[in-house]
Amino acid sequence: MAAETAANLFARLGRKKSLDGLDKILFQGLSRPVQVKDVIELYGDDGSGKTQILLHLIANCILPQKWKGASLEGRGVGAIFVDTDYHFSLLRLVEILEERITSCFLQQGLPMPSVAARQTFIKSCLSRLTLAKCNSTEELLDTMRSFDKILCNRTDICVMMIDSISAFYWQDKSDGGETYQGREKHQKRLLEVLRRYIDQYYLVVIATLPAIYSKDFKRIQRMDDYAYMCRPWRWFVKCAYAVSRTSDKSSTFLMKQVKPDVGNFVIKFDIDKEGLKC
Amino acid sequence: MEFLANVVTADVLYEKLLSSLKVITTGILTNLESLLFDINVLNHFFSISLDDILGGGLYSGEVNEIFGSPGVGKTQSCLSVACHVAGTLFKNVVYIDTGAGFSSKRIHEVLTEKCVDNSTMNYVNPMTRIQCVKTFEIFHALFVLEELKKCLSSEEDAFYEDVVLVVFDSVASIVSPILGGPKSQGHGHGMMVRLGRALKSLAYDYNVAVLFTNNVVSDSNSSYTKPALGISWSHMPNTRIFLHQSEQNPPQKFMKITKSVRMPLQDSVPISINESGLH
Repeated sequence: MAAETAANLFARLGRKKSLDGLDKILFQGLSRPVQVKDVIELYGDDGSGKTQILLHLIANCILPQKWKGASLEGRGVGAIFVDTDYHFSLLRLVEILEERITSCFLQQGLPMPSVAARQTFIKSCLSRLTLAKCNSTEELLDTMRSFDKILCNRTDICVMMIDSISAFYWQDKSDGGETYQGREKHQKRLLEVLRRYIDQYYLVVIATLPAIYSKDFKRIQRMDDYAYMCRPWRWFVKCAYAVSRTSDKSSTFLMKQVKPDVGNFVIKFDIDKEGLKC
Repeated sequence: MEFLANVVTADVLYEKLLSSLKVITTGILTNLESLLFDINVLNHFFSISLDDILGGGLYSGEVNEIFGSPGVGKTQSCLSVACHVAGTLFKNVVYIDTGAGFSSKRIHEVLTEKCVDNSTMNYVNPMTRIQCVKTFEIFHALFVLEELKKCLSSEEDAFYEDVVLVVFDSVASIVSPILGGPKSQGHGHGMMVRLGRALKSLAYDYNVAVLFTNNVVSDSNSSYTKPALGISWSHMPNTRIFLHQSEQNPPQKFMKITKSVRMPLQDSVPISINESGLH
């Protein structure tokens, strides 16, 4: 890597402070707020709200703290979203931003900015988000390795999300041959890149892990109860959560903290137009 | 460089999305007169149509799944949507048929009924707007999808420029035979995920909507059924629609969204099948 002056280093890392725990309610089970270099894993079945949680956290990141006098409770930091499952819906994100902005203005009794002004504002927020869609293990790995340039130039990026980290699990397994080394080599390479980014650029990494074996949500106590990724990944994850929908009909969801273990602390939340509501 | 994904900021993508997004209506409208009145249906008296609960229809770039028990009307739904796209929206459809369920006679019947209804006989015969490919095993299906991608990007054939919908009926019939077995080593699952990803990238990269059907299997934990192909497959579709029939009155069917990345999950929508497709 090219040498860097102390001033550059300070400029690059000194700004990274304003994460404010990412979300006050979702992560309240932790002994301290979420901070840079944390690795968070979200595990759950299909339709359990993993991607919706990510969208909510993106909104928390890319909205600024204030706009036209209204407090939006954003952080104004950049984020990278790596979409391997093709579930990211930009329209849904824009809907969440719209609803959140209008409800903030209504609640605080401030005059509503015009539709055009809101649109321009939302676009300016969206420019903080970088997106990449990957369709194969090789593409994911190469794309991840290519983020150096972006991370170097864009010092405001504090969060990297991967939805989902195990999208190519079955393909890797069937291509990898008989041994664990062969099957897990791509996971380990990915892990190496992530580890380097976290150290070098002070990021929070959030990854989703879809369930691929049937597991009863109530019985999940520890990461080992559901884990199927390689062991180094399990050690790498600092905070792990299991999410589940309460029933087929309702839009109420549960999020259980499984690491660090605090006796299965559960948070209940709803998902509506505006995103997550606790 | 070949393997590098396209990395963009969200505002650029949003601009692109606004100009390229296609919402494809399904043409499955709730017709109050056609409802067979039983107590269940009365609750839906002021009900809304499938397009309403889908947020306008099928979106380009997304993969949608219809699942239900045999004979409930999955293939009929696919044919009906295909006819609506060809006969009312005047767009093209590629129909990939794995179970020999495609019937040009039925297409003709639905289109004739529809066109009489709307009294809009188009100058291009709507039947030429639907192309059918038959495939009976997964390797060939992957090859077909690959060929289709080539056709969609080559712009040589005018037919493919107007394709907005790709129907795949059904995934279960070609994936089920390769799953499991004592020495499978996950190869079957690998192939299944490959097929799912091929459908996803087809939808996203070529800006078309994909609609596929899936069977159901019995759920060992409850008396209900669940979609076939297991949990790994369940993460594939963006939207899952459950097609089921009323217990008291079997001709009356319902559609219900059980998973969506965009829309809140709502009540079932009543559906019935007649000469002119689904209503």
